[in-house]
Amino acid sequence: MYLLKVYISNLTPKTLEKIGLFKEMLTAELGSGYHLELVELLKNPMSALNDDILVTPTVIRCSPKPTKKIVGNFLDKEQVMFALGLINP
Amino acid sequence: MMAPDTVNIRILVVDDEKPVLNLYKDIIEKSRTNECYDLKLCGTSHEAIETVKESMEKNIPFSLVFMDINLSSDKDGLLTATEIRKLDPDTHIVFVTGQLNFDIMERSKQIPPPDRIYFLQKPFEAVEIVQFVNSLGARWYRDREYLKIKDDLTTGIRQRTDQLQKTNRALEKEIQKRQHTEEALRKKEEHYRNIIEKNADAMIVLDDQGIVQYMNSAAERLFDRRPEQFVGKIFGFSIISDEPTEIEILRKNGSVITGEMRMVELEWNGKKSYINSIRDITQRKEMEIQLKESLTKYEKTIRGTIQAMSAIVEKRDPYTSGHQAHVEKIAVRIAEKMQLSEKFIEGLSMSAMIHDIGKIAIPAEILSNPKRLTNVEFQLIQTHSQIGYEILKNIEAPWPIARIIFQHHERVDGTGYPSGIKKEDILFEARIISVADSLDAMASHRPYRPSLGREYAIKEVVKNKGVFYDSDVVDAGIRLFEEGCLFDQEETCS
Repeated sequence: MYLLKVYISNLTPKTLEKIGLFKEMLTAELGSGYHLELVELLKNPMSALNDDILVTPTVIRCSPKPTKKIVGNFLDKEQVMFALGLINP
Repeated sequence: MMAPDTVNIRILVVDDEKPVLNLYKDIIEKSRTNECYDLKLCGTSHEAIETVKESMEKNIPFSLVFMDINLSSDKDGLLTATEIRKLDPDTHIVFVTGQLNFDIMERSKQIPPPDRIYFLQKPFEAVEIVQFVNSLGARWYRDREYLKIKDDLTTGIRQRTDQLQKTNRALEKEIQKRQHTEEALRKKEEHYRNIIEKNADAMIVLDDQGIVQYMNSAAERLFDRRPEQFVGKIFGFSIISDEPTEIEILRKNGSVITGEMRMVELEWNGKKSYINSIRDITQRKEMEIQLKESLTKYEKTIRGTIQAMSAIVEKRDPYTSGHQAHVEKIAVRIAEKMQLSEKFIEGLSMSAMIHDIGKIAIPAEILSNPKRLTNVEFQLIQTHSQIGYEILKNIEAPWPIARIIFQHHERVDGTGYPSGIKKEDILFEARIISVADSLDAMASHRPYRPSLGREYAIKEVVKNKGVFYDSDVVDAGIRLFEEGCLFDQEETCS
């Protein structure tokens, strides 16, 4: 089971739409083998501090280790899946 | 080293007395313990010199020569020895004489080297001959072996030295080449660093795991962090794309700024790396918001003005009251069905709302005339497109409202008015309004006739699809009609 976190600054209809697309992308690739947590950076500054979040949006693969992180665009399926180590190159 | 008795020790004896030569032969043959001695006997100087010459040519030199000084031939022993020495510098020469004197000693010095010249007083003892043969044979052999080894060593050393020198030269060249390459790389990297360091945009160099390797001064300012707080941390991998990505940056003081990020691949310290350039667009975003707000205000003002103008037109022509509003609704529904942009629909809506504004200049009696219009009256009514354009042409708006109104009676086959332009030459907004205008006109009551009905109106439009009317617009209208959403009575359609 992959544990993923998406950090965003705050919830807007646009970010919600993007996260919806991201979930579709994950489900298509991993089925139910993932858990995605949505974190609003400004409401959870301590969590952001712990995860060394410098920019939003940031997606982190928290487990299994090693931790992997992508920043910015997280909707390019192939590059995102590879960068997060969710698929083989 | 091999023992001298296992190789050929060659001995030359030169004496003009046959018995003496035989004596040598007896002594040497009796003394030898094996067949390794090779004895040559010569009776004349000439014979001796030729024998040595031949031995040198065959590379089987003599180890020692017993030379009688008082030879009766043209050359005495000393002169013969001088010639032999010229041919063979290594052979040992033993001068044999009955009268050894100072003069002989002096002349023998002309035959160097002195350590290879010996004297034997006649009459000699057999043992003396044997001793000379043994000791000089052994010495000659040792010297020869020594020279051979020395030659081998010298050749080996020379070859090795040549090889080393060659290797050295190749290494020096390689070192120089590497130094040049390293220098070129250093300069190139310095050049890159300068470009990156002095860039106004924030630049972060990441390794293939998204870990920060380097940040420039602009990045320090943008993130409000020192390199030691940043380098070595996981920044995160970003996607390579032609389009920049918008991100929000959390600064150390808690403020958030907006940035535009691009990533490219490059080589950094000899490794595949990625450079993220981030431009601060916070001000630009704020300006965009302000601009959007003022544009919204401006659009609201325009819409208010247009609504007022529309009301004025319809006040003068009560029989067509509501027509512009109906056309606006039909046009907007068609545009939405065609998934056109919000911005386009906004301009379309405003244009449709006052598409008949030119009728303000047409006498009210003509507009509300219950009888069929004369040609002159009809021509007069047709001028409303041009008049509408004239009224609106100097009003600045984000949409081409004046031109849309000017063209709303044009037909795609070029049979419309006022210009008779065709197809794509007609603005798309005008092509939509044209369909909406015709649909509402046919479906509504007119002073000179009752309503023709919605079914009739849609059939007429379909009949002229691609002739008067744009095919895509008509198709969208048909779909809406089939869904019961084309005319304004269906409340569930919006």
